[in-house]
Amino acid sequence: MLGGGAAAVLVAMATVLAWPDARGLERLYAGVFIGTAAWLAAIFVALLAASGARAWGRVLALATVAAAVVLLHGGWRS
Amino acid sequence: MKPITRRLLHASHTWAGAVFGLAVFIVCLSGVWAAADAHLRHWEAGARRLAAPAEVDIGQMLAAAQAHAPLDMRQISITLPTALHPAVRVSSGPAGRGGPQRGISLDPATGRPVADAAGSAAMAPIVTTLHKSLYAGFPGRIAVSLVGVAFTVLLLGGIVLHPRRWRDWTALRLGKGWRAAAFDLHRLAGLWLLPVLLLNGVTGIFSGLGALGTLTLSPLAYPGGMPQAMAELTGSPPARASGVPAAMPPLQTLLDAHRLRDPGLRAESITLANWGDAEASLTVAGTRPGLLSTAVFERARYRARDGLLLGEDSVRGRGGWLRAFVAVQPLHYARYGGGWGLALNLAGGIGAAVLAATGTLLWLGRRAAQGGPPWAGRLAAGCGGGLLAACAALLLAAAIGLDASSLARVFWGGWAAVATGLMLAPVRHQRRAAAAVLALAGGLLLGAVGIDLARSLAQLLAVAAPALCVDAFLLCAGAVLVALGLRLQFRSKDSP
Repeated sequence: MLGGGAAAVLVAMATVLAWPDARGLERLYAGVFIGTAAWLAAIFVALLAASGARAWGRVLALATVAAAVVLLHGGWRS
Repeated sequence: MKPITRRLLHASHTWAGAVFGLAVFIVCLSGVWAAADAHLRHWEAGARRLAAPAEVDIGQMLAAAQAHAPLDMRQISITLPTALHPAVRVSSGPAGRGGPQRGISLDPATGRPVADAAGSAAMAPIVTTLHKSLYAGFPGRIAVSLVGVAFTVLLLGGIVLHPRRWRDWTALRLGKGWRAAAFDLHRLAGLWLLPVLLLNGVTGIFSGLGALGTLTLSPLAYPGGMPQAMAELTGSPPARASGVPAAMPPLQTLLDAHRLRDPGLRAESITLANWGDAEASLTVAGTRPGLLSTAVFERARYRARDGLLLGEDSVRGRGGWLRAFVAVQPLHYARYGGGWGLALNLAGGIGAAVLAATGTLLWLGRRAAQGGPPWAGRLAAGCGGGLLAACAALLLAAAIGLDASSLARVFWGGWAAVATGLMLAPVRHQRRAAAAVLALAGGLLLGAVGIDLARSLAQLLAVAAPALCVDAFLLCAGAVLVALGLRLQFRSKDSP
């Protein structure tokens, strides 16, 4: 939990610094959401590592691909 | 799923539930209250409820407030009446650190000062504050968000563990012992309410952690840090006064012109800055149908002397991440879908509390069967049952009409007394004590409903309607608790 939290803070900071959008609020909240999502993901990965559940792996992989497609397509912004 | 995987996931779900079950119950039960806060404030007003007006002349309201007490023209805020808060609230003076604001509440029908019963409610904020911050300010808000993290992880773990049998979607074994009933309730609540539970859990996470992220990450996005981020988030302040006096058009005319120009923005409040000056401005803040935002972000600012539009703020057209952040609060507190959205949110909150209670009960039962010490069961029953009874006692005390300090004493004293009683009850009487607390809480709720119904019958239906919705909800909750308490009382051999 704590290790995942520390990693999530780093992910959030990197996101804010590297987000390809000049608008400050957009970069800021991209960091907030992606950092928090990274923390939740770290918790699930820890559970996965403990249990080796393939179903979880598939769900996470599917969610990651879906999120990437949505972000790339630009459909997230309306 | 392999048996070893299932065992590991089950173990992590069970232990996470054991560690966070009581906290999740407290946050979710108080969350039901917080979601219905505006309705409870109206309910609490009792005989002092006002009728919601069809139309209000804001200019007349401002003149009435000015006639009663001189207003500080540098900044005047006018909160428009709603069905749940039917008074017009006029406040003046600089907000925040500039000094205390002075305010007056007016009856929109007559323009006369009234006691703003809903605006100055004493009962509703007691439990709402518990949900929002645990009475610990910003750190408490973060703690509540962390409970949201635990809740979301438990939800997802529970769904993965579920064996996906169609009959599980309806099976509820009430006559086959408390373990079977608790297990079925736990499963049914998780299955049927999963979308709204996830919505509440995830938005709960971002309610606190979003604010923490804004605080800690803003120096990376803005050279000026948090103040600069907040200035961009909430819009620029009004222009300074020029010192040149100017004639102001009627306020209602300006508001009507705004409604004509932008009928989609449902005005909730109006802020006047430097009224009577050539640079005076009027800001209309509100919400838009179908847009998940709040009055903090949806605003239109006009120059007062001629009604010229100076600027508009809205999350429409802004980036997706900002829109997601702004949508968190309206989603978490069901500011969408009207009454149905609120009903769904309340069902989710009750479902979450049932999930936490039944999950903890199942864990405690297994622990007791394995010969574990009884302190965990005493703690969970005391704190959880105590909160339930304290909320019911608070509602009854408010219905009776006790003052603010007495209400606080009833809630905290009641919670402490019931918790202590349940924790110290001898083991052989503990089941009956818990059943008695359930029946007591139900009885208190029914008492509160009875008192409110008696006074609501003397009011017009249009005035009492929101309170009657609360009464119907409390009536159902009270009846269920009394029935559950009596069932456990007379079948204590079959109770946990």
